[in-house]
Amino acid sequence: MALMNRNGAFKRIVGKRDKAYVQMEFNRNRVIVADAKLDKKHEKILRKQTLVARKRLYPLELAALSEAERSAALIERGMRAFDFKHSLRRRAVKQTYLNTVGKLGEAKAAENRDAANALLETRRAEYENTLKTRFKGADKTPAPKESAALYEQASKQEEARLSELTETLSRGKQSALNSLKAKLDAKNEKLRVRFDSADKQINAMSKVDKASFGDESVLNIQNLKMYFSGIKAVDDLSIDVRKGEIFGLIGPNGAGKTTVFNCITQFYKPNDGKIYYRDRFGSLVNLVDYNTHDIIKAGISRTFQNVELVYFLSVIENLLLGAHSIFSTGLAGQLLHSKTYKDEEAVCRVRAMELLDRLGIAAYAQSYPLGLPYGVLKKIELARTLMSNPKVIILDEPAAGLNEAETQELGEIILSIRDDFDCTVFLVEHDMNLVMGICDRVCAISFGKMLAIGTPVEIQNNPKVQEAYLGVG
Amino acid sequence: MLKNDYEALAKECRPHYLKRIARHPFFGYIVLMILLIIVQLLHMFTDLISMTVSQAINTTMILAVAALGLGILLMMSGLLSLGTGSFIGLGTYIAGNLLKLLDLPFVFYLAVVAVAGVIIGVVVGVISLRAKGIHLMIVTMALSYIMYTMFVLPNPFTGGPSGLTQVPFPTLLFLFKTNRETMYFVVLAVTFLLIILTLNVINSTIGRAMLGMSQSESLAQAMGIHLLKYRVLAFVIATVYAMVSGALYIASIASSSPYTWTTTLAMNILVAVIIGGTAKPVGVIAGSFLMFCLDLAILDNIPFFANNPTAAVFFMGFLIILIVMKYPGGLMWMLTSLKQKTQTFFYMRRLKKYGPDES
Amino acid sequence: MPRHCKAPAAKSELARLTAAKRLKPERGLLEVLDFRLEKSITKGEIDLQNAIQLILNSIFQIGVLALTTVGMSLTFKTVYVVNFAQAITSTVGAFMAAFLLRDAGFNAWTSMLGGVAICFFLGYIMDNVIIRNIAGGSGRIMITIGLIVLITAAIPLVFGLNPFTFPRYFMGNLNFSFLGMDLYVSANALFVFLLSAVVIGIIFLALRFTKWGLGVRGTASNKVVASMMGVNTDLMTALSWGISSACGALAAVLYASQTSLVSVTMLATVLANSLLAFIVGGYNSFYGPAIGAALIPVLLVFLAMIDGLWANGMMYILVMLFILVRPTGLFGTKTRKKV
Repeated sequence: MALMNRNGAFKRIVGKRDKAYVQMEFNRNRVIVADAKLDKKHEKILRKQTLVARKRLYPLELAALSEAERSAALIERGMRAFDFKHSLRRRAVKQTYLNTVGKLGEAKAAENRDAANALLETRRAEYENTLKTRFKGADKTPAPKESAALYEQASKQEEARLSELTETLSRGKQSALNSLKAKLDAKNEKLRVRFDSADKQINAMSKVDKASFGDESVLNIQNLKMYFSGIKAVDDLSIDVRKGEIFGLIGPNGAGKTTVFNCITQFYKPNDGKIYYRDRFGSLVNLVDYNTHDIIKAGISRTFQNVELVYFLSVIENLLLGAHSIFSTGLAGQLLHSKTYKDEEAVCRVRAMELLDRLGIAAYAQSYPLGLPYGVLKKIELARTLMSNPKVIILDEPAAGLNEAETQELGEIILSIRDDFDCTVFLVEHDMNLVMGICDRVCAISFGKMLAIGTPVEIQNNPKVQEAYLGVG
Repeated sequence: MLKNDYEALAKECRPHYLKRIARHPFFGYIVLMILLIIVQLLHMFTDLISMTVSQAINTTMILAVAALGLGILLMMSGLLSLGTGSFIGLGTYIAGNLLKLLDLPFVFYLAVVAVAGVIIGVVVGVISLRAKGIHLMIVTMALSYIMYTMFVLPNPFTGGPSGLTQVPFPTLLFLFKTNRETMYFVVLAVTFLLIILTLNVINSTIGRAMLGMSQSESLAQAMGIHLLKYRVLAFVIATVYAMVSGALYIASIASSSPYTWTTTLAMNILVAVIIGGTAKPVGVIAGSFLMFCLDLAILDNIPFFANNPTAAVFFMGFLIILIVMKYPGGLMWMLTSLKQKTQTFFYMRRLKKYGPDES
Repeated sequence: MPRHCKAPAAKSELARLTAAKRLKPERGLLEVLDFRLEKSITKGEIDLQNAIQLILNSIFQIGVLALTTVGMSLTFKTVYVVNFAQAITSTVGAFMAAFLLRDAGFNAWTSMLGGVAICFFLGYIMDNVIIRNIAGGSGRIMITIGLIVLITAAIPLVFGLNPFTFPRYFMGNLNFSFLGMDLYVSANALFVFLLSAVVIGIIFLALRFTKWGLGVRGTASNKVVASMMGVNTDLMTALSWGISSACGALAAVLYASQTSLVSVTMLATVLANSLLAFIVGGYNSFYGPAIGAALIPVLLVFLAMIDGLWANGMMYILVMLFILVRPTGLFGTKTRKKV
């Protein structure tokens, strides 16, 4: 009972700290979204003001022209409107020719078309004539200097007004952003205090033996045992995953590789053993204390052996589902779609689009996963794991069902993810080319027991591993 | 072309403002509400619309509120419940007794009933935590039956078998005493608010989490979704909607008989939701109109069906089977495919007449 | 206040309200599935003789319930849909039998066969025309509910509004003595029980030992693989639907012979109870539902001896608790999802 209570208090404090962290992260990103929003709004205002200015200047510009030029400009304007209005008719004539060419024969159809075109031409000419009679000024003497000067002055005025407006807007934007920043910083300071106190408590509470945990380690599995009604799926397994490496777990079918993953992510509660983990703030925790749904908040994000996407949601919404753990808005905010919630979603959407773009599948953002190629689905899953700012990514057979070129591309992607997102990758894979190509260290297991651990070359030359894969003999 | 020719810019500044309005997510619902208001005004001031039709629409909107909640429970979270009828009944009894006791603004009753709904939703959600699919159906059926027995057995709270009768109409904001006809507008207003709330639920983290949960629980857990929390939340939403629907019922119909609140009603609402095919209010409201309004408002005006009441029911059953066979995704699918078909039709006509767009 | 002082008043109230219910015009679309309070259960002292006598009185319910439940489990196993329309298709059989008896000059036995045969074809056709063409999932449940609406409305259109009755196959009671207790059982009820037991036994034997049974079990376990192994799965499901409807029709005719009542809502309680039996027995076993069906009426008898008004309510509470404790039912097996 005492243990239960300790775990409950522990979980509560971890939850508190994670919430503070998520809000701080969001506050940091919120400025970008606010910036983009203000930009959009200001652009709209500017465009509207430009329109107003042009409407004001247009008659003055006309007045500044000579009579001949003025009527030419007006006629051109009228004809432009006429052409736009009649473009559909021209297309109709063209299409009618194409439609009837089979039925009536080439000559007849062409005749019809020419007749129709001629009619349109005459109409156009008629309209042009009307315009010409309406605007028949032919005087080429330039307009009086006063009107030209007036136009000049007015246009200068308008330009000055617009540039002033731009300046005011940008100043307003700057000040708004600054005040927002100040506000968010103040908020973040408060959150930081909360975060620090929770962090201290966690460090005091965590009973992890720091000596057995290497400085470079991220994940330290010790004597893990997982039995299913007598079957020893994982038996006394100890693995140490170091920070920033790509760690591969290999083994024949039924060796218990996926069970190890499920034990780490707490889908199965292990019968015995410890899973120590250094979370993103450096404090050491035992993952067995965690609930399944809290694992992702600790910074461990996983994919599944068979693609698990929500088929009722579009690709980008699937990615937002992956960001579930970094949403901090409360229930009321979500039900009423408060401003904070909208900002939060905008931040996540921007991030999701960036990730999709990075993996080269931005074109699929709005489409639904059902019916997309398998390689794309795998990439979507990979992008989804990255949505929650993970520290460790667990990939369960990422290359299953991919062809050679796709596998190679996947290998490069995994390498680049490791470098750019500053995380550790822990993967199970059957494709030896991939494993040997990208992994820094590999662990081979068979029937739940460890066979060997080492660099890919060492594993390749290990007689035990060869025996397990190829059989005795 | 002159430097300050403003035509092109003007087009850019006001791009298809009608289209932009029509694309607003609430546009369709506002149009529907306006239409329904016009129907009621026609009923109140002319003889064009009969009392039956107005009442049918009123009842349909009330039940549609419960159906919206059930839609979130069933279509988003994949949880099947047959308790909706009983929860509506409970809502009518709570609100009805309060209405008899106190004379306060209507919002007060809605709030009380909603709070009761939250409590009962949490209880039901926790009870049915272990059950899923058909088990959940049986558990909710059992709950529904137990509540039904409580309604029917004589007691002062529910009025026993004769139910609550002669409940006074509520006042709005201490000022207007409503009657049967003006309550219609109140019902519409509350329905509209709940439609917006439903849209917000669907388009937020809650909605995505529920969909993820219904698709795969392991996926949901891996994404950090607390299953218990969202399951209970789905039940709470469904219960609150059902109880609010009950409050609307007692306020606008002024009586409540326990024989209405059976699993039969729950099944009817379930059919409305599944026929709608989605948790989106479009589908739910279309399904509700098909189930609760079609026969009373339209079929009864046709002489053949007016003379043979069973023929109308037969026709409804036939319609349900036909829709499910032709469009397994429900009315939503039907509406979408009809929309696509009309769009394609007009596009093809345009293409045939004018050829492909020049760009 | 002692319970027996209060009960009669409540009971008369209940009788009044059930009468009022009957007078109410049946406007609800799915009135069939409505629960009604059991008004037939009488209150008595709790002693062994009384209990055994009450169980003997309800053996016909056990037979009818078991037949319906076995039919339901057959369709569920092959098509994965809870057939809500089971009760109403069975009612068609009862109507048909009563119609043959009254208007076509058949006797009670041949009209029973006629009703069962008609229902077999009804089930067969239902699967061929409708159920097979639905993609699955909630659509199929929807279809069964739609069928309830359709058939409920169609019965008065086809058979007219004149009421039907059905005679008992055997008259009189059988008196016997057991452990010094004088007991009796209605001959017709015993016949109903025995016939149901024989039919269910034949179906189980057929499932175990015939080619059809192998096909059905194969289809139930994996439809795609079964069809690849040469099983005509379409025929199997259609036959299952036919047999399940025939079972239901037999149950309905037997029920009608015992209660002499043929109405649209006659099997409403049976349907609700058979759903419970289906779950309590464990829906992924073939034999569990039949045993569940035998348990439910017995349970109901004992509960009725405690409190007549709340008997059904208590049964529902018990079943609910049972489901929550053991979701797989008495004989069901647990399936584990792979992550």
